[in-house]
Amino acid sequence: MTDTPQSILTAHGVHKSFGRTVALRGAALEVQPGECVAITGPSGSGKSTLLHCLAGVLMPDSGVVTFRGTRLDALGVDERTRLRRSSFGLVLQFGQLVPELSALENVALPLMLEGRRRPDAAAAATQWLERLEVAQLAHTRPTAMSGGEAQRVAIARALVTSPDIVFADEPTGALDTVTGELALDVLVKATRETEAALVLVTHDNRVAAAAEREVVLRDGAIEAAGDGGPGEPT
Amino acid sequence: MSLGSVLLGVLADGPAHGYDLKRAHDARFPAARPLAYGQVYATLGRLQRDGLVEELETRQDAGPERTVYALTDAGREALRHWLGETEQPGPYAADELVRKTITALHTGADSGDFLRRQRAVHLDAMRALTRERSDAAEPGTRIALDHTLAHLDADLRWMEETRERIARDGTTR
Amino acid sequence: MRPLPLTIVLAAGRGRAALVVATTAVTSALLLVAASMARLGRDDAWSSYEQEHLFAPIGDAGTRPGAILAVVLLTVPVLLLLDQAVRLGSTGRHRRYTALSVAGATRRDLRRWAAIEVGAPAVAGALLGVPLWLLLRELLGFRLAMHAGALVPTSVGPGPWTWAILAAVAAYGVLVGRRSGSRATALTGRGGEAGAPRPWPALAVLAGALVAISGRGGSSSADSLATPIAAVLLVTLGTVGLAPWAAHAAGVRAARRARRAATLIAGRRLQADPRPAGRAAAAVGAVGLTVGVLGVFVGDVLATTDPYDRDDYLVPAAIVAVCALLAVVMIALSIAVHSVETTAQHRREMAALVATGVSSSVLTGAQRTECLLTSLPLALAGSAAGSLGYGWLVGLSPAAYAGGAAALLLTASVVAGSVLVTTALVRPWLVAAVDPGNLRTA
Ligand SMILES: Nc1ncnc2c1ncn2[C@@H]1O[C@H](COP(=O)(O)OP(=O)(O)OP(=O)(O)O)[C@@H](O)[C@H]1O
Ligand SMILES: [Mg+2]
Repeated sequence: MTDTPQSILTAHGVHKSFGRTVALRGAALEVQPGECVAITGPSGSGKSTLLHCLAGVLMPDSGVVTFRGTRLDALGVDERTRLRRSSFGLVLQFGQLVPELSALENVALPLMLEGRRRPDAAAAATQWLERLEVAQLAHTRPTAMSGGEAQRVAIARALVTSPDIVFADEPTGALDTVTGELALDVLVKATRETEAALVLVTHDNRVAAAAEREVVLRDGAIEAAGDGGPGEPT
Repeated sequence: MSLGSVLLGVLADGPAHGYDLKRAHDARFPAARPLAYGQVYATLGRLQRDGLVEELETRQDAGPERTVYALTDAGREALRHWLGETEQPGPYAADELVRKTITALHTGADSGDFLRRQRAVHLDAMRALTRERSDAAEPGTRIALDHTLAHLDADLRWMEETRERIARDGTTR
Repeated sequence: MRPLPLTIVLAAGRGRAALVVATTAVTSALLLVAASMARLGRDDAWSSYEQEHLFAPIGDAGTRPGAILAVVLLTVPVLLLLDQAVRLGSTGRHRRYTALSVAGATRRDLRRWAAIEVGAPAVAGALLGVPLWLLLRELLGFRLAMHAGALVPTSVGPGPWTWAILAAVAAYGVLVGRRSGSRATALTGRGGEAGAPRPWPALAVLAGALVAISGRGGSSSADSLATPIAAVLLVTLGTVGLAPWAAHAAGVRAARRARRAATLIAGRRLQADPRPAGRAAAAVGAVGLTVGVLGVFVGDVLATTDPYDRDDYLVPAAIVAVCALLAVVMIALSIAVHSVETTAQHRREMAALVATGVSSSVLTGAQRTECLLTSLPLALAGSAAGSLGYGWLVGLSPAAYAGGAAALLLTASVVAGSVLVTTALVRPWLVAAVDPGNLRTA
C-alpha cells in the first residue's frame, strides 16, 4: 500500500526494544479516517507495543509515526499529552478507570482537563453513559462494577472527547464471550457513528472479524496487510 | 432424515406450502445453502409417504395451485424424538483443508504461505457473516450464524497452531 | 546461610526495616527521657534544679507532669510513621503471602512471619533507643545545662523503667507486625471500605473543653495541673479520633465543588480512604497546638522578662520548636510513604490515566491537594487552639498573642512547605508508576 494523502495515521519502520528483547522490528501501518483495523498475531509478537507507539504512549527507538501529517516525535511531551487527550481515545483490557471516581466523574475527567466547565462536562458524560446504556451506574465506582459495565464506561471515556482515532488493546479480553461481544458491538458502533477510526489489538479471530481489515504482526513486523478482498491473488 | 426433520421443525410453526417452507428455512438458516424447490417437494413427498405430514388443502390464489402441508401427530412425535437425540460429533478430520495441509507437509510445499492466504479467505467469510449477524434482527438467525462463526474460528485457530508447530519443529515427516 | 529471621526481614524490604528501626529507636529514646523525668525527686526538686540547671517546667515538680506528657505526645507522630512504614509494600506482601499459603503455610505461620518482619527490627530499634537516649542526655542535658535550662535530666536515668520501656516498644512492634500480617492474609477486605468515619470523637473534645472550663474556676496553684492535663489529653484523643471524619468530610466537600480535575481526584481519594490522611492530619494538628502554645509563651517572655534572663526560657523553647518541626517532617514523611503506597497499588490505573492524556503534573497536583486539604486546616486550628487556649488558661497579656499569630503563620508555612517538598520527593515513584509498561496485561 502506498502512502495515501488521506491516511490519518501512518507508521513506518518502527523499531522498539526493551533491554535485550526486540519487540518491534520495522513495523509499518496506515490507518484511513473512520476505518476499523484489527492488529492480530501470536502472543508476544509486539501488538501492544505497536499500539502504544501508534498512540504516542511509547516512543519508538527508530521509525516515524505521524498523525494528520505531524510527526509524534517532533512534539513535546506536553503537546503529545494534549494530542492524546483531544484526538485519541484509549481502551484497555481492564483496570483503566480511576478507582476512587464514579463512572460519571471518570468520563467527565478528560473534558474537565480540556477546560470545559464541570456542569458541561458532566452533562456530556451523562449523554455518553446513556448512549452506552450504563446511565444507571453514573454514581457507582469502578470497584463495584462488573467487567462488562466497566468496559462500557471506559468506552464512554475514550469517546467523550470525540477523538479522531480510538486505540483498543484486547478490549474484550477480560470478558466472557457474550459480554465481550456486546462490548465490542458497542465499541464498533459508537466509533462508526462518530466517524472515528478504530485500531483494535486482539488475538480473538471473532473480534478481528468485526474490523474491516486485518494486519498480522509476527515477531515484531507486519506479515500480511490484506485489504480483505475475497480470494486475494497470490 | 436431516432435511426432513428440519422441515418438520419449520412446519411446527403452522401449516405452510412448499414455497413458504423454503423461504422460512432459508431465513432460519442463513449460513446454509438455500434450498432448491425440487429438494423441498421431494422431501415433502417422503414425509407424506411416512405419514409424518399431510395435505391440508390445495389453494389457488392468483398464481399456480399450491398444496398446504401440516404436521400429523406422528410427525410431531418424530420431531420431538429428533430434538431429543444427541448428534454425532462431525467427522471434521476428513475436511479438505486438513487434507491439503497435511499433503503439503508431506510433499514439502510451502504450507505456511498457503495457511496465510487461507486465513485471509476465512477471515473474509467471518467478516461477511459478522456483518450479516449484526444486521440480523431475529435471535434464531444470529444463533445459526454464531455456529458457523465458531467453526470458522476453530479452523483459524487450528491453522494458527499448525503454523506455530511447523515453525517450531521444521517439516515434520 | 542467613538466619531465618534476617531472611524474613530482608524479604520484606530494607527500606521498611530501616524505617521500623528508626521510629522504634526514637520512640524508646523519648520514653526513656520521659521516664527519667518522672524519676526526678519530688522533695529535693529545688536542689536538683540547682544541680542540673533544669528547664523550669521540668525542674518544678508541679509543672513536671505536663512536661512529661509533652514528651510522651512527641512519640505520636513517630508511631504514625511506624504504622505507615509497616504498610509499605502491602500489595507485594499480599502476593507473597498468597504464594506462601499456596505452598502450604498456615495463617498462623504467616502471622508469625509478619510479626518477625516487623518485630525483629522493632527489637533492634528499641535497644538502639538506649544509646540514642545517652546522646540526647549528653546534648540536651549536660551541654544544654551550660547555656540554659537542661531538657533531659542528668542526675537520674530511667533506671528499672528501662526494661519495661524496651519491652513495651518491642512488643508494640510485634503487635503491629501481627496486625499487618492478618491484614495481608485476609482474603477479603483489600481496598474494601470500612464505611465512612463517624464524628463521635467530637464528644471527647467537648468533654475536654468542659474539663478545662470547670478547672479554670478552681485553684490556680501550680500543683493542680491534673485538670489541664486531663483536658489536653481528652482534646488530643478526641482530635485524633475526629481527624478521619474531618478528612472524609473535607474530601466530599472538595470533590463536590471541584472545578479542576486535580481537586476532584484529591477529594475523592480522601473520601475513599480518609484514615491515613486523617491520622497524619491529627498529628499535624497536635504539632500546631504545641507551636501555638510556644508562640504565646515566647511572646510573653519577650514582653515581660528581663533580657538577661530570657535565654533561660528561649533556648528550651527553641529546642521544643525544633522538635515540633522535626515532628512535622516525620508526619510529612509518613504522608509521603502512604502516597507512594497508594500510587504503587494503582499503578495500572495511573498509567492508563496518563496514557489517555492526563499529564503526570495533574496527578502530582492531586497528591498535593490531598495532603493540604486535611493537614492545613488542622494545623491552623491546632495552632489557634493552642495559643488561645494557653493564653486563656494562664491569663497572659494581649501582647503575647502576637507571638501566637506568628506561630500560626509559621505552622501554616512549614506544613505547606513540607507538603510541597514531600510531593516533590515522591515524584520519582509517581513517574515510575505511570510508566507505559504498567499498561501491559502481564
Ligand atoms: N515494558 C516492557 N519491558 C520489558 N519487555 C517488554 C515490555 N513491553 C513489552 N516487552 C516485550 O516485548 C515483546 C512484545 O510484547 P507485547 O506486549 O507488545 O506483545 P503482545 O503481542 O501484545 O502480546 P500479548 O498478546 O501477550 O499481549 C514481548 O517479548 C515482551 O516481553
Ligand atoms: Mg498485549
